[in-house]
Amino acid sequence: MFLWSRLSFLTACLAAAAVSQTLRVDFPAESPVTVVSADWGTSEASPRGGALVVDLRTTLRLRNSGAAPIRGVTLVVLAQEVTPGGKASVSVPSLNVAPGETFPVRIDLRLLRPLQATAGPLVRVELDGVLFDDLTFYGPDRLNSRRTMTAWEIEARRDRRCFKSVLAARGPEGLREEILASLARLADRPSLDVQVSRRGRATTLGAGRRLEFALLRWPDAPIEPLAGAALVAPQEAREATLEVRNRSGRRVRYFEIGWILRDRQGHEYLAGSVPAEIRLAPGEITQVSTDATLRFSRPVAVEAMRGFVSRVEFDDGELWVPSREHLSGERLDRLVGPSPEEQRLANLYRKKGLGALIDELNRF
Amino acid sequence: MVAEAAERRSRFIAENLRRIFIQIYRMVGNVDDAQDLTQEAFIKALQREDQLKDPDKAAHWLSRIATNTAIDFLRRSSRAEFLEVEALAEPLASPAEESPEELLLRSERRLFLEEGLRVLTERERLALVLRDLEGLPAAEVARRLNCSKATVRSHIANARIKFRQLLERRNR
Amino acid sequence: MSHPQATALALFAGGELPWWMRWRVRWHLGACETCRREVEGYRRAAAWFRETAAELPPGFDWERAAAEMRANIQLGLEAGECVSGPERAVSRIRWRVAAAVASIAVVVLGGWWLHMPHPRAPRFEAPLVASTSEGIQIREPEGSLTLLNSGAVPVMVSASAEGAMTARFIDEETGLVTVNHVSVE
Repeated sequence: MFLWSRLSFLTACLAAAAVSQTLRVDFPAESPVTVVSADWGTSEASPRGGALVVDLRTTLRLRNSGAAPIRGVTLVVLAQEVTPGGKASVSVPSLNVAPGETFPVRIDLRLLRPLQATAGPLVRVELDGVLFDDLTFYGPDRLNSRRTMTAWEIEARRDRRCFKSVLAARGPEGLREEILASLARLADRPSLDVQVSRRGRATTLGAGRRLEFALLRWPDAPIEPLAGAALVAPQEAREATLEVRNRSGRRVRYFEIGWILRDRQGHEYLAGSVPAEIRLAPGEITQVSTDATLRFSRPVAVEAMRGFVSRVEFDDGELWVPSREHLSGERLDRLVGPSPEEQRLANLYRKKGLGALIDELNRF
Repeated sequence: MVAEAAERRSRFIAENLRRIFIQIYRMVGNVDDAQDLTQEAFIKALQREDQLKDPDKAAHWLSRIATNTAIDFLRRSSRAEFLEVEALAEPLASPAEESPEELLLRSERRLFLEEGLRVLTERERLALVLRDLEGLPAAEVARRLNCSKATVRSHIANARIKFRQLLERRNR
Repeated sequence: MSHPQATALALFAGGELPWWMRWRVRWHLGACETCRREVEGYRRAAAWFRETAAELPPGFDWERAAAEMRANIQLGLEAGECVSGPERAVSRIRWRVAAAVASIAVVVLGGWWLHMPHPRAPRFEAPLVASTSEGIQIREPEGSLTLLNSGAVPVMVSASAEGAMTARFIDEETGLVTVNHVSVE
């Protein structure tokens, strides 16, 4: 009886208290993005046995208080009491927010934790970074959001150029075909639910077998993948190792290799990516490996694997991403999916039609 | 050699027991029957030691035996009519690892699932399990249930519609 | 605009429609958000079903049942029994009779079996990240944090071998592309 009384009391307290006691937003005073308002929406807490489930649904309205248009924002979401070893973030790419304008960011999250008294907010939201139109960046960048948002912006420019050239060459109907093809690729994109664990062996299915990557080599890619392999079992893949060469004339400090699995029926899935923070001089060869285990929600009888260079960052911060021709030529576009900008433009077409899409393309 | 064979058997059972039990349980809907049938399937499988050498193939082959065993049982119990089955069944997904606290939420979902499956007819349940859980192609599901592809599509569609309606009512 | 029947959408979601019907439904979906939501609803329900049906029955004592099954499998192999066909009903009785009559043998063999050095399936060492039908999640012994998809459709999920996961969707409320990201150290 006592326990239930305690639970009911605590639930009532949490429900009645302002959600700002559960979530706190902290931006630096000099930040080019400021919080105009926060709509707490529907937020609730409920006990489930010995645990507490806290749902927080918040929409922050932020203002561009800087001098340049904003292309992307990343907010860090911290719940140190609940997940001290983890980090979460919410990013909004493909923005076009002029100075003085406002834009919304929604944060919907659920916390599950043992029932216990706590002092202070459960969740803190902080700014990790802001990307501007000229690709300059503001923020602590603890989550490497500069690299991620810059890559998205480069992809956005690539894709807008493509759509504009389709419009110029084939007219509005040509553009419509291109956007419909994009929507169809997204609808047909095969997906595979995955868990990723960093530490320790997580297999329940024996030792697995070592399978080699078939690596895609693009002559103009700065990184050339030379060889690679990983251990695969019916429900997991792990211990990927890759050998690569920097064939550009510049130092590289980061790259990613996309990891594709093919099953016995010939279906392909993008399992994930293998990132590497590693300094590589021009011409240098190196090996990278990961101890992570990718575990799939359903068995995949893996017959083959493909790997491709999906992102490269040079020492000066400049980024390389595959072209649309690279991706469509190897039928990767179906697996990788559209860029955030392509997704935004396709959605604009769906909601408002071809005219609105053309107007939007002409704004850039 | 004897110790090696015993070790192989032991590992084979340890690695597959839980998922085969769940696979059979979802087909027959009864814990006691599922236990007996699971034992039966393993004994059939382990009496052919030569099949255990390739772990991937052994897992698929065991799933096929488990499916056949469950369907044979249902046929003899006059709960459904089937022809002899042929092709491989996909191995079932193992339950995901989770933090202890989430077990509390999971038990609610499992109870709801049990109730939800009772709403389906037996044919609908079998079609849903074979298609959505074991991942068999629709044509193969039709063969195992001894009905036309059109009929099995109807079972699958009705099962999904009923299941989704239940899920949406639960989430309101 | 006329819409495909619910059965067609349910089958489209699972990929069972014949190609010529699939093509028609896909064409319709390109222009109909209502039906797209329906299809995503079926896909979400299927994902929920797959996730939940792969678990043990509620309140089931797995450890006890597994020990019993392992012991009985060993008994069956030792006895050279092959349980199949019309003998099924008899064989079920046989299990119970064997357990009742040979109780000492079962205890002895079961005890031996249970104490053999079985390679136990290693567990995931927390923390980890996972995708679920509701969003992407960090799981640790202390608890879990899920960034929810908020019912958005479609959601593009991708994993990274550095221990991270990303979910990208168009937020229906804000209309903006939103990218949720979780990672573990």
